[in-house]
Amino acid sequence: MFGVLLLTLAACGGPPPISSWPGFVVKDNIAYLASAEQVLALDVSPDIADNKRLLSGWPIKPYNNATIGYYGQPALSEDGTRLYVTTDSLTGNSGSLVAIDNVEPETRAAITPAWTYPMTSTDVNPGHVYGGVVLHDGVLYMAGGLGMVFAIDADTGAQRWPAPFDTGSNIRIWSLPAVTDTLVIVASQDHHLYAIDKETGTLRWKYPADGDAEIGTLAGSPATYGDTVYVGSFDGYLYAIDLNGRLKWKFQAQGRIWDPPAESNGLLYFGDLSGNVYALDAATGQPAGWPQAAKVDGGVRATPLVHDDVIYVGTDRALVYALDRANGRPIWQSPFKGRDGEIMAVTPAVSGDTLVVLPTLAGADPVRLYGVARDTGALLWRYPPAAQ
Amino acid sequence: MDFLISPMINGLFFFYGILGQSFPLAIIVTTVIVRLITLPLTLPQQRSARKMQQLAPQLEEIKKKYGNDRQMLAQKQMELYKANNVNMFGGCLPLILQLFIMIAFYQAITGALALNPLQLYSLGQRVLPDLAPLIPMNSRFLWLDLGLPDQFFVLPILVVVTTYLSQKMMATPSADPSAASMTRQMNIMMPLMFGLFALQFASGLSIYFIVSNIVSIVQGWFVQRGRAPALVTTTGAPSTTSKASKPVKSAPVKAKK
Repeated sequence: MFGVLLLTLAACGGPPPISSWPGFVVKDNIAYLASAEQVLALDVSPDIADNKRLLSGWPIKPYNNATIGYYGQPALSEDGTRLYVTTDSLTGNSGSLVAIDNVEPETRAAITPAWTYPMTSTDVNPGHVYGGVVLHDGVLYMAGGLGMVFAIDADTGAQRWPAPFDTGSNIRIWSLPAVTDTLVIVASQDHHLYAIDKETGTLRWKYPADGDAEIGTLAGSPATYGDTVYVGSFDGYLYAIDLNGRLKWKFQAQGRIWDPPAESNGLLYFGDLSGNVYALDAATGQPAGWPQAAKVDGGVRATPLVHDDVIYVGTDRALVYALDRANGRPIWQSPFKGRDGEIMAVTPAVSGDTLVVLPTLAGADPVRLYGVARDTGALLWRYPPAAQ
Repeated sequence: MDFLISPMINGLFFFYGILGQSFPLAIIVTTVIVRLITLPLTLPQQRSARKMQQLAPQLEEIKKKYGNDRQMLAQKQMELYKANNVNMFGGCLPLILQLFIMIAFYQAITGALALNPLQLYSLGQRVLPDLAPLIPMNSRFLWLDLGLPDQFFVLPILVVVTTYLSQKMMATPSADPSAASMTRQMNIMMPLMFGLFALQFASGLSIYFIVSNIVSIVQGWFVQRGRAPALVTTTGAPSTTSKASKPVKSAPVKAKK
C-alpha cells in the first residue's frame, strides 16, 4: 500500500509539468515559435523536406540553464533580425523579456541574446508573462502576473515609462496589450480594462469605472478597430468600449469569451468556450450576415483568422474549421483534426496556400506545428515529423 | 477522476464566495465536508482498528503459545479476527478511496487557483455560471501562496505532526513480529513521506492534509471513547482445522477512559 501511495502521488505530483501556452509569429515562410522549453524557427513551406524544416542554429533553450519556459506571442522586429520572446519562471511568479539577435534565416552570425529585461536588480519583476509581447513604434509592451504593464525600449531593453503601470490589484494580466496611437489597453483578470497613456504610462481610464456595475474576469486580450476597443469576458459578454472608456454596446454570447473578435469589412467574428462562432455588426453589436451563429465541436479560445473570405477557427478538440465568411457554413467537408489532447488555442497564420496551425497542449512533447492546405484542410506536413 | 474534481472545484468556489473570499477557509470547509461524506468508509476502519487494539492481549497470548510455528500463529490470529468480525483488509479499500479523493482534491485546488493559462482554460469550462464572477481566486494567505509550497516549512511540519498522531490513533497491533515491525515503520515513514509531499506540492494541499488529519484524530478520539464492542476469544488448543477452535464469548472489555 505504501508503495502504491508513493508511486501514485509521485506520478501526480511534484512540480507541475511544463505546459505550453505557445505563441508564434510568421514572416514570409518562416514561423518563429515560442513554446515551453524552447524557441524555434521553422520553414513552413509545403515542399521542404522534413529534416530541413527546423532552421540551422535552432532551437534556443533557456540561457544560463535557467528554469524558465517561453510563453505567449513573440514579436519580430520590422527588419526581421531580432526576435522578442517572453519567459516565465517555473519556480515562482517571475518572468522576463528576451531580445534575440540574428534570427533571420540568411544570417551567418550566431543567434545570440541582445538583452534581457529585467536588466538590473532595480528593474521591476513583471511576474508570470503568459500573454506575450507586442511591438509598436520601437517600444515593446507586455503585462505580467503581478498586475503591471511594461513599456520597454526595443533597442536597449530599458524602461520607457518612469515606472511600470500598476493596476494596484496585484491580480494577474495574462493577455497581450492592444496599442493605439495614444493608448496602451490591457485586460486584467481583476475584471477591469485599463487604458494607459502611451507616453507617460499613467492611467487614462478604466472600464468599468469605480461605481459602475461589475463585469466578469477578462482572461483574453483586447483588440482595437477604429475608435473602439473590444474585449470578451467570462461573464459571456463581448464589450465594445469607445476610446474614452464609455460602453458602446455589449453582446451576450452563449458561452464564456476569451480572446477578442477579428474584424473585416465592418463585421466582427469571434467564438466562445461553448463552441459557437458569431458574426456581429461592429457598429451596433447586432448579429449580421449569418442566419445564425455557427456551431463547432469544442470551445473556441482564440481570435479567428479572416483570410480571403474564409474564417478559420480552432477549437479545444484539436479541430480547425474553415467557415464561409458570407454565411458561416463550413467550407471543408470535415474540419482538420490534430492529435488528441491538443487545443487549437492560437490564431492560425497564413503562409502562401498553407494554413499554419499551432496547437497548445500539456505535458510532454510540447512543440508541435501543422501545415494545412487552405483550400481542402488536408494535412501537408507536421513538426516534429510523424516518424520522430 | 473528473467526476470528483469538478464538484470539488465548484465546492471550493462556493465556500470561497460565502466565506469572505478566503481560500484557506474554503479548503478547510470542503475538506471537512469530504471527510463527512467519506465517514461510512473511515468509521468502520477506525472501529476495526480499535477492535484490533483491544485484541492485543489475546494476540500476545497466541504469539507466546505459537511463536515458533508461524503457520499456526497466522491461523490462530486469523481465527481470532474472524471470531470478532475484524476484516484484515478492511482498511485497504477506504485507504485507496481516500487516496483517490486526495489526488482529486489536489487537482481541484490547483485547478481552482488556475496557476497557468491552460488551467484557467480548463477552469473556465468547469465552474458553474453563478460562481464564475469569483474567478480568479486570491491565492495569497498570510505568508503563503497557496498554489506554491510553503517556503517557511510551517505547513510541512504540521503535516508530519498531524499525520503521525493520526497514524498513531489508527495503529493496529499484530502478533506477527514482521507485521508489527512493518506497522512501526509505517508509523514513521508515512508522516515523513507526507511531509516530503508537503514540501513539493501546493501549500493548499498541505492545508487539506492537516485538516484531514485533525478530523481523523477527532474521529478516532470519539471512537476510542465510545462503548467498547463485545470481544470474542478463541480456545488455544492446537489444531490444523478451524473446527477445532470454536469461538467462546468472553465478557465485554471495558473501554479505556
